[in-house]
Amino acid sequence: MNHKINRAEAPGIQLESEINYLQPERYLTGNGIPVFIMRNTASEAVKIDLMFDAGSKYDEKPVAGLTTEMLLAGTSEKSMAEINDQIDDFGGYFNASVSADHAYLSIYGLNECTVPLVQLIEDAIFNAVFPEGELERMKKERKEKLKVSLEKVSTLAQRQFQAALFAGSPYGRLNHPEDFAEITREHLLRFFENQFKRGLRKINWVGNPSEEEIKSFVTVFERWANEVPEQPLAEFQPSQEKIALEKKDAVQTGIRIGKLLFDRSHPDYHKMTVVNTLLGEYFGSRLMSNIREDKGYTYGIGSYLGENQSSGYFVIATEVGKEFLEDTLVQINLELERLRNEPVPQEELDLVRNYLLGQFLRGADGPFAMMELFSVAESKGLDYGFYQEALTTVLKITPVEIQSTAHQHLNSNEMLVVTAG
Amino acid sequence: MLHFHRFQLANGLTVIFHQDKTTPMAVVNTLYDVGARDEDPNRTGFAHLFEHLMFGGSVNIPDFDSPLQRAGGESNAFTSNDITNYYDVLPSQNIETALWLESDRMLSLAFSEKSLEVQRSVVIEEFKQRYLNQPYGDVWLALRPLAYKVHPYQWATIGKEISHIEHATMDQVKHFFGTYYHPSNAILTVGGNFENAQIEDLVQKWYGDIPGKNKPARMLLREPQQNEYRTLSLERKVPTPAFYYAFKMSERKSAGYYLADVLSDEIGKEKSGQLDLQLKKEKGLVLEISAYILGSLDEGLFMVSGKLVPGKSFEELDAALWQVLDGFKSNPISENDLLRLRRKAKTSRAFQEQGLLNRAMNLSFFELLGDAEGINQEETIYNSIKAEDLQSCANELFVPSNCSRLFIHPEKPSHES
Repeated sequence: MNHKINRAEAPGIQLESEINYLQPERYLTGNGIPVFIMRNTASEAVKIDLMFDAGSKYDEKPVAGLTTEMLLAGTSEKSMAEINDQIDDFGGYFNASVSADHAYLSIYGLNECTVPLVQLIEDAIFNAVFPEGELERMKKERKEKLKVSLEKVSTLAQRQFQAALFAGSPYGRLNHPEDFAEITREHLLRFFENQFKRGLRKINWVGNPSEEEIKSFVTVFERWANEVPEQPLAEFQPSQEKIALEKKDAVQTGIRIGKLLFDRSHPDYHKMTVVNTLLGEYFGSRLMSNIREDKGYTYGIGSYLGENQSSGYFVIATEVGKEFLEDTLVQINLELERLRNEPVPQEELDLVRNYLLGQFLRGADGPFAMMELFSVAESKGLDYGFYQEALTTVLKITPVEIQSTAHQHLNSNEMLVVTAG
Repeated sequence: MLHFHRFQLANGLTVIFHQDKTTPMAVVNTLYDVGARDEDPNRTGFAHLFEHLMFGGSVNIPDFDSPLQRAGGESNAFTSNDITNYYDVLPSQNIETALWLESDRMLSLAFSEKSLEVQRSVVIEEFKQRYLNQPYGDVWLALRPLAYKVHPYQWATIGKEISHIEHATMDQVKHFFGTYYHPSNAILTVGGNFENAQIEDLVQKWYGDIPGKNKPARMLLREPQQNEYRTLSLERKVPTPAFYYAFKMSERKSAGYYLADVLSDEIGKEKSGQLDLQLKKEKGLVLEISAYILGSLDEGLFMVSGKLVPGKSFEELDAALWQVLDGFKSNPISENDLLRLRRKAKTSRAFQEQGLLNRAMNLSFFELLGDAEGINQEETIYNSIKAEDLQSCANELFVPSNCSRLFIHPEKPSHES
């Protein structure tokens, strides 16, 4: 029964718009720090994220990054190598990272030894001494890494964009290679006391612990607090200028175009998600179709909705052959204007709708993804209702709404344009 | 333990189905047994350029991506020196969309002139973005020909030079497709919440009528035994001096591959490994240092690379580095260290197995190695490794006549007169 198939005709498709959002279990440490547990019953893999109010915005110097990276660099009892060997004894891994708002310590391991692994790491960070020798090495390493990074046109454009967009606010502050020299151990110790010990905001735990394990886990973090006050963002004036940085010998030019916008708590956020996807968020987007797939000016171009704790922004980012710079800017403008002045064809909207539904489904697939969804919303004072609204918006949005959203928020005259190359 | 169901179509297509009842998504992974090592030395970068063209429309479907996106899915691909791998991830009820698209481009491409012209340009921009306009970006373009004199691993997947991509013609594209893109040169892996019979029927439906061809014979020149310490120093516009030591190591299918893999984990341990302790902490010579293997199918490279503390000399580094490596030759690592490596490997396996896409890609890759079942034997292989095996591996690897060394010196600032 081998029927001849018609290859010119696409198979039928169906899209699921039902997603089962799972609530994590919630516990509190003695000090009132929330511990969220998402069950992972399919595997032994465990991930624990500690989130601290210890982002780079809390200090004028690049202290946050150094402190975060040195959390496990030694105590008065143990050297960095000893701590690392002991983490290895449990088959554990860890990763420290920092954003403008928060520092994160992620711990990876297996169910069989979660609690002892976490006890070991908690002890090492609570008693961290930030040894002088390690700090000097780390400063050198960071300085050189920054110098290397400053050789990239993408970094140059991104930094200038951030500095101009958030000029006068902590989000617009940039690190420079010479900033590291003046940082001392005392800076780190003070930052650690104020932002880490008092700023353990929450703990996310993906795993499958027993009741006993949860009990002892929660007591492990009793000596940490969650009392860093909200830092209101002072008034600042985002720039809308055109900035061209020169980098001799560059064969490509980095481009960042964008503006201050809003974060996910704004009523237009979901509509902007659809607008942004159409413009530059997926492989078939207008920017990709025009500037990569039609003209071949770049390896990739995209647009993004970014956010920090207090605000959000919109940015278009690409690197193009320098001979294509001028026309790329023209084409980007054309695409912005087209979104603002013409309704989206129904066929394109249907495609983007389906693509986004698929993305939502994928973004909710498995306990690690589910924990991430929960945590991002929770950090903004939202819950899973946020994602339900997103789904509803994607299903219902009309070409008229898309056009008016774009018209309101994507005026190219209001945009900051940075090029580097 | 990964379970799978394997079958073959009459046209030679090998199919692996991996059931996962926990996910609403499906994965369709297609591995073609062709990589940069199969290229003509005068037309390098072709396998990768070709990968781009695979998205430029097939014989019955003008555009690959739109129908997939319309079905809620997305797709990507990568080319290595050994293989070209394409994957689609989409809601499982729409799996036929992926099978329809993938089978049509296995049947034949559209061979559009416009697509060739645009993708040539895109790949040239990729060449610039990743290899030319990045600090240290051209390191592999210099290191590969130093380490390999005969074997096609001497060029990177992007190609030796931009002109090879510029000169690619439609005839070459068609010839490449005819030689390498057909059922017997592919491994299709499907993952998701389906039943064996369902996948057998669907794959037969979409792939059954693609004509079979003989799998192309691969006759690569064997890299002759290296007999000298090869060294190269280059000046580049970079802020920090960098070093790259490349040691020839065993091919993927040999026991020596696993030994080198574990040895690189031990030597390169961040913050508690010997390279870090001695070169970074004790001697203050390096800003960062790591050890890793490239994982090639043929004779590969065991790498030790990093950045020098500015002001320190490469000579000092060279002496100190060889001293650390010699330590691994004369002393076996401790039982404790071996145990730690095993425990860490267990954790990282648990994480690797989290993603359906990862599992599907790995199953395809092990099938290419000879048997998808190999994926379930790796743990036993790794756990059987003893300290003295690693010591003898170190003795084979860490000799100057097995090493190619590249130093990158920062260019002296030029003084304009």
